[in-house]
Amino acid sequence: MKRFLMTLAMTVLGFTPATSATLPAGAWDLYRQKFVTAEGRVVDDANGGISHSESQGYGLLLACLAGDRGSFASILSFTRTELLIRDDGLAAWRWDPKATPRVTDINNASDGDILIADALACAGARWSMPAYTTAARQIARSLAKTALVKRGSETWLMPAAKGFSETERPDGPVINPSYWVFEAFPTLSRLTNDQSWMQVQATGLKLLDDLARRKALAPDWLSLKGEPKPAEGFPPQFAYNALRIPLYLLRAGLADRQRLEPFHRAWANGTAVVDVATGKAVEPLPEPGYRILAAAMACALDRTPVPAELKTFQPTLYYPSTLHLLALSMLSERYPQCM
Amino acid sequence: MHVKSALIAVAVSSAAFYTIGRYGSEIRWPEAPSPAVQQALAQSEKSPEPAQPAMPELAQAETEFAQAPAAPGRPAAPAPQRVDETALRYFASQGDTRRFEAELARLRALYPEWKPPTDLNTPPPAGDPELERMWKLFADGKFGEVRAAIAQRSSADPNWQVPVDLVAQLDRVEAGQRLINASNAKQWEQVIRIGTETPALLTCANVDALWRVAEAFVQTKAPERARDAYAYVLTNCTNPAERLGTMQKALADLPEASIGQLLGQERQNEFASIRDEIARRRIGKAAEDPSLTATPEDLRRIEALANAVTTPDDAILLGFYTFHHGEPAKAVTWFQTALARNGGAKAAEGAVLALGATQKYEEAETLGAQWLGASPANRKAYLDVATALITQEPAPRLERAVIERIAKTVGVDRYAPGGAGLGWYAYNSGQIAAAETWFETALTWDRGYEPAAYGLALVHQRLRDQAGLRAIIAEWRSRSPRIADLLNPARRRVDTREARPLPDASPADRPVPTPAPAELASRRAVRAEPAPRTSYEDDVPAMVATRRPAPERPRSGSCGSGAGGAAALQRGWCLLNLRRPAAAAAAFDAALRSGNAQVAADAAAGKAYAKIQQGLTAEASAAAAAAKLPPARQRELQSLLLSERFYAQYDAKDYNGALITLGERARFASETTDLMLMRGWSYFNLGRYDDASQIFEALYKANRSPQALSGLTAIRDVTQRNRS
Repeated sequence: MKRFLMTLAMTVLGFTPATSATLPAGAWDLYRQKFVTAEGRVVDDANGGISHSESQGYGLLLACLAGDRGSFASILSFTRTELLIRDDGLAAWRWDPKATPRVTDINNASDGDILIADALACAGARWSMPAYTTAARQIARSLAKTALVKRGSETWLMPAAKGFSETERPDGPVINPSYWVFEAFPTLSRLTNDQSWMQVQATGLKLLDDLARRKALAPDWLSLKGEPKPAEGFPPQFAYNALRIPLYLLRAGLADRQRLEPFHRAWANGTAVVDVATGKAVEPLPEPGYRILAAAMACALDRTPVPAELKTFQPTLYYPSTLHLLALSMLSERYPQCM
Repeated sequence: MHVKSALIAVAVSSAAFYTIGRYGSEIRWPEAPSPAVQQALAQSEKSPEPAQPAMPELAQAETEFAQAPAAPGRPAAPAPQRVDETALRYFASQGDTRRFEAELARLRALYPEWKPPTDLNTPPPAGDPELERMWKLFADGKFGEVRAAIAQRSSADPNWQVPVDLVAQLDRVEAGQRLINASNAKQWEQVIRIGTETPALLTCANVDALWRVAEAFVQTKAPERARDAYAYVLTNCTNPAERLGTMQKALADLPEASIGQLLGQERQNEFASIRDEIARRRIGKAAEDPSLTATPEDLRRIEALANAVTTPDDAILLGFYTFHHGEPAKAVTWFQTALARNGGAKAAEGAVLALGATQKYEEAETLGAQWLGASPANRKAYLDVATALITQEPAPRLERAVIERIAKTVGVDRYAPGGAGLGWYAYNSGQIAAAETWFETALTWDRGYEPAAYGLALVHQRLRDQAGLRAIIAEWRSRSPRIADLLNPARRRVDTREARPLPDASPADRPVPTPAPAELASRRAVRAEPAPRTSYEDDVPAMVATRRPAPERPRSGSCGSGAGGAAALQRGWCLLNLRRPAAAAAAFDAALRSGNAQVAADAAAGKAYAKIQQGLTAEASAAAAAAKLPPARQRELQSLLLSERFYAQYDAKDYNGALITLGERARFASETTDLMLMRGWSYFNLGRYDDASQIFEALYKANRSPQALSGLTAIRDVTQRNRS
């Protein structure tokens, strides 16, 4: 009953996060046609056509932003049937069409769970679907139980239920700073009435600010044993994971100049995977989905207009295309003057 | 946490995705689904209503995938009682028999009072092509597209109400798929939760789902609830294959008492095969444990089956049962029947043992020889009967080929009782030199094997080798009264072997081959496995005897002192057998320096063994690598070294490393039973329970090894503990 009243209150009071965000219908259609199957599977075409909780989460979020209720319903149907099968109610992270059974790793990925929960909250509010909101709340509660770890005054988001803790790795705990989907934390916190989500946000921001003060670039995977440093067994690079950090900051309206500075500087000579120790480019990232991230930072910091060729969307591969749409949606909402 | 309370907690906290009624208010979510289920299942047992769903209470809370937008503030309306026949009519119109039947079963389960319509052939009222399309998509299994179509239409036309039946169908098929996925991923709590949330799924139309839920109950340590699920099928469902399958699953999962209850629901003798299997189990258990007796009824049942078929399994089972219950002659008959039916190694093993037990040693040896390569158990049975054959008195007249193959097998297996047996056979047929060699060889294989020492002492006595005799008596006095008595004419007991007149045949009649030098030299026991020590008076002197500090003495008792390479080599092996590896290594070094190529190669191998015995595996590897050894010897040494490394890694809890070492070793030699067992434990320690269980099961199947059984028990313990 309490839950019902809360749902009611949220709906009546117009608690509708992200409803106003827009995604051009044409761009979403192109994305959907290329990456979303009729059954609702979001395909990572650069990784052997597998799907994962992240791709499903992004698909749901974009469908909500685009106002596409039908696609949202089919993507959710697939996500729920195929991935949301864990005992704890979180999503198995990896789904391979060539494997039997399709779920090849039952471990979760915390960012995938956050994206799914955030998208469900978005849809619940946008289309007045309390069931979606309820589902979002359940995932947020379960993830808080599974993945949030308090260390001293800090609250960290573990990347998964298994494999990254102090006891499981010599350099543990190991985190992934790009799993902080900052726009989702206030939503998850409100949904669950649990302040630890805001503490996670604060801890993430403090980490990024500390790194910025040391003029250090965040690597994809970070060991928290002692002073934060690149985790063992992963390339010490600002790469495909970490490059989402500035986008998430911008989308959440948390992009202070100082906080963005290391990312902006790292890409001064073009978008690339960057070695965090030397600052040198390791591998260029020429796709528009990456370049628009640099353009978005330039817009936010210096009001530099976004180049025309990046304003129109042409799908490339799943991942940069996803980032492209998230950036376009963010720019049109927050920085219309750059568009 | 107890499973039930875990389930309640989970159910309460999960409050389900789609528990929203069609009018937007939340349907009461069952606070404690598990007791409800239990009660429901109990009810279904009492009143066999063919149309009760497995979880009928929850069926009232039929939920809807919340496509309909919330309309806050409106009161909850009762769930509609009207039976929606849209799907049924649609499937009928499409001629889709399978889905029609499933839907019919589902509706009957949900609405016991409901009567199927009789006008199914009349086409459904026309007028909603869009809805028709949705049903078409559903029939084609395109569930995601149905969801999309419903959502699109709801958003385009806020007044449109999605048919309750369509949503119920979608919920059911999606939950069914989700349940399969969760079950394949071993997410047992989720399986139970899905079953609880989707009672419409758990009907006779989907016995597989019921089985999966039952398995989840077994895996979460709630076998009594698994039994309830199986009982539901037996009470309500009619498909004969599914009923039998249910009993087979119950037989695999549940304790015997529960199986007995389920058998009570048998219809027309449909579970005869299950009863057979239960009788087999009981006889099998009693065959392994002679203190248990099978009932005459069980025995009659399986005997009748064994006589009626042409397969060997039941005959083998009865063979082992009778063998272990004092009826070896019957056992012989059963095993011979099984062999005639291609019963293979197990039948042969049983036949050899049973023939041995009826004293038909020659027949047993002949049969056993044909199955030597089949399995370790066959070798063991062969060695047993072969040893019994040659130690008979008077010594039987055996063909040369027979004796030779016995000698060969005994040598390869370093089987001390067999070696001593050959010693007695030679001794009893007057071949004293051959007897001496065999007794000595048996002693190198097992330092503590008293019968070999006794035989050797008698040989020395016969040869009037007083020094040799005294050396043996000095070593064995404290452990063997009969050896101690040999030099005590006053207390001298008459030993049958000694008192026996010399054999009536000339030695040439029964030539006993002596062990090949390779057998003497190679395959030295290196790993100090604590073999069961046979003590004749008490243990302590034996310990003292084997641990006496002797390395300082240059000329140890029987190891000789010759200066040549060959002598040094022999001394090395002798010292090694006395477990004086440092002195042995020195002797081998001497042999390496002064011997010819053959001796040097042998000495290098000896040195490697000595180093292994000292625990110096690195030096042992070096010694082995330095020697130009024949490939076979090289392989043997390598496999031995790798075994050593394996044990060291295992002891250091480096299980991954240990497994890699086993993999390397497999390149040189096949895995022994001991090592396979350790492989199982390595997997176990790594938490790789499936792999471990495969190994233990294979070992258990191969030779009923109790160690393998305890492995399986340990796995069951830990996996169940983790789940509770």
